Amino acid sequence: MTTLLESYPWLRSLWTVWFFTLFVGLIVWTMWPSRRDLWTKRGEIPLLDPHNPAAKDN
Amino acid sequence: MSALAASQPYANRPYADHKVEPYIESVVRAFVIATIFWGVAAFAAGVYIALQLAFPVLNLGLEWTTFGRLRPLHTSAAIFAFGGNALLGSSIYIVQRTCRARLFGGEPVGWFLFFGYQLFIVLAATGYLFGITQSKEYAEPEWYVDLWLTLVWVVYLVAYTGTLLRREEPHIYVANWFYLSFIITVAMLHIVNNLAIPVSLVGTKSYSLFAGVQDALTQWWYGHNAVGFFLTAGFLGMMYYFIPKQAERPIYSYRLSIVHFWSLIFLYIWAGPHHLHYTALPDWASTLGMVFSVMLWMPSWGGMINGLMTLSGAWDKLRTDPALRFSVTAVAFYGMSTFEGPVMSIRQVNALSHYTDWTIGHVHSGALGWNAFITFGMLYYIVPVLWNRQRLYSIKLVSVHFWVATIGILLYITAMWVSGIMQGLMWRAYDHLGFLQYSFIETVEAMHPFYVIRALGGVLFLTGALIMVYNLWRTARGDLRNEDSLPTLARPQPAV
Amino acid sequence: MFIKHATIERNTILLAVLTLVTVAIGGLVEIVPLFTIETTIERVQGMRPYSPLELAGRNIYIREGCYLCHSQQIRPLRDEVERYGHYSLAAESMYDHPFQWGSKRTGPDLARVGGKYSNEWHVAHLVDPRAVVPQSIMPPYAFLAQKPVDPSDIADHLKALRLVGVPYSDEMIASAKADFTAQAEPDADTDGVLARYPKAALGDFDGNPRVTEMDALVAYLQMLGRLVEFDRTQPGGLRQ
Repeated sequence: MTTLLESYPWLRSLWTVWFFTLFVGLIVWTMWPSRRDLWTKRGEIPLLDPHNPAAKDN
Repeated sequence: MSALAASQPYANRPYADHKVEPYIESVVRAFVIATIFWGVAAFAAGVYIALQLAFPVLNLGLEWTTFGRLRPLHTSAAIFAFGGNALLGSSIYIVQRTCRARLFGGEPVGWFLFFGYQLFIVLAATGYLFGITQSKEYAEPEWYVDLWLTLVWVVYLVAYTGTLLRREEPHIYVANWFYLSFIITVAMLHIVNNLAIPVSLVGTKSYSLFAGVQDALTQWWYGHNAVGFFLTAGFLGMMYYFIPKQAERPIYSYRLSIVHFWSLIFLYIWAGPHHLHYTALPDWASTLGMVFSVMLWMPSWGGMINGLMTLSGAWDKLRTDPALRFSVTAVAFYGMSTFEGPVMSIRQVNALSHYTDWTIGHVHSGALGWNAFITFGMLYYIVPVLWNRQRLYSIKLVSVHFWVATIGILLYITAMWVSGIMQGLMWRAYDHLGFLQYSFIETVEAMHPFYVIRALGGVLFLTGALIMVYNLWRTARGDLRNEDSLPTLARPQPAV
Repeated sequence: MFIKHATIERNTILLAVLTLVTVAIGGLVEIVPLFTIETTIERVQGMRPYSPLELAGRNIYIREGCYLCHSQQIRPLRDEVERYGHYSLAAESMYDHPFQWGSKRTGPDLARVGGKYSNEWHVAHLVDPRAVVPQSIMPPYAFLAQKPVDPSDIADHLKALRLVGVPYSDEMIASAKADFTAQAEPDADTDGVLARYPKAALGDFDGNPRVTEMDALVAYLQMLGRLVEFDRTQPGGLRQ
């Protein structure tokens, strides 16, 4: 607990930087135009599984 | 199907050629039955305690049946028994299918999770009736139950990540992100908030490690994130799988779903202190909670738009498929509650709404409108699949359930809005001489009609659930109601 | 194949770790500073740990879920201060494991209910709320007066609380059982109880010669909010 208390001011300035950089990075990475098709394909994953291989009627 | 197939890179990949072991579905079926059972129990307990507030004679003068002991029974049954079973079951179903992999650990782990989780529920519930409680809202179970749940939860985390690791599908579908964040965060919240010293290893009583302000903040950090990660992130995982399945089209924007995920988990964890406005908690903490709560409105609505827009071009399905209607209405209620929540987190609004029934109404618009409705939509989809039936027993009964339940929710939340705001205003009313106008008991008396209306709303919601039980039971049995006049809703047959 | 598998594994673990870091940091930044007690807890006179009987009563309050309908947290709003008294201080719940602030007022706030009503009123009201307040919707708690409290493990409770930071002295723990009985005994020598626990409410509250759960609960209710000496507190002492 004391370690946490001592590092608190440092943590506080760190979280702002961490928060902002990581979040902006994630958004940019996600929205990058060349990834658009990739994401579209990935959105179709649930629909690729029309049946259960275990089911008897297959 | 053929038009879709052309746009799907994997569509022609023959599943049969892959050595995919059969998915584990017996455990999922058990979770589905448990979800339905505990759902009815939770709704019935809710109706009963609602009636106790309207007619106190229903406390029966017995130790075990007072409102104070039954209320945790209702909340835990609704959140952890009904919601928890729905989440565990659906997550096991989804993770296997979107990863094309069998559950890690197979049937033994699956059954351990099922029975381990039911044992947790039974231990917690019997404890409440005998007055064994930590008094932390939504974390009432005492230390021995907490330890057991921790064990079950760790197994769940291992089974879930293990399944993700052995996946055949290169990408982890976003629904699994939401489920994974739910499992990890709930583990963290549960462990920290329940830190306590037992008085004796053979007794049930323990004392929380934290006191006063620190305990309050830890509790509401837990409490609000139980909403955020148990009742939101987990159920969003459900939304991101079942709405595309029911609408038979991919989610509106997969990119938006990723932004939704990260912004939601970034912001949600901060929102807890808005439960402690104007208390002995230092102002900076509750202000921080308020700011993040208001920001949370954006990702929440991003998610809502993503869910609703998935239906674009297929809105006609809402007319013909009442099960999808449940899922879509759930998303609309999600949007409403996530708008109402940030408003209530604003300090000046909270001064009026806190301690009143407005909060109770808000919680129920989320719990009944969002959580229960998305679960009903899931159940109506999953039961014919799991029991290998052509379709539901009756589509018409789904529609009846939908309308009865919706009217029930509307009665409930409007009654609580009126009583909550009225109570808040009566508490702060002054007469022309500058004295408080109402004694406390006058405000209690004024609540009575609204408590009756609220209980009526609950009765309707419970009735709807019983209609669902009947419908799903007949479906599982393999019965089909003759409903030729309705548009056909046979499940699309496999393309292969 | 090997490399591909490694990538997949890394993605899952990365997702898990990023999620954990993201959700952990919010909690750390908000909760940790509160443990710097010097700035969070006001410097006021009069706070003390609960007497053994009050503690037993508090545990009954918790057991019966009283906190579900009664808050113990008066907000600094004009109407609340007029209705219930001085707004609640952080110092007033500094020994509360767990806190009992509550989140709903189906019934009135109880943070300063101590001394507002007589012992007899509390007993009559708990036995049958509607006999005293006809419009009340509170459940009856008549069974409390029938159930004796066993003080045999009360010292263990004090010890457990000391482990989590409540300043119970060795003397308090040693005399816990005696203090427990003496507080509810009309003819007992209560000097020790009052020296260790100033302002403790004394007496046989329910008229039953045994120490019942009713006695314990009323002893707890009668001390709520009475400890802090506001007249001996400097204005600066209330600053957080």
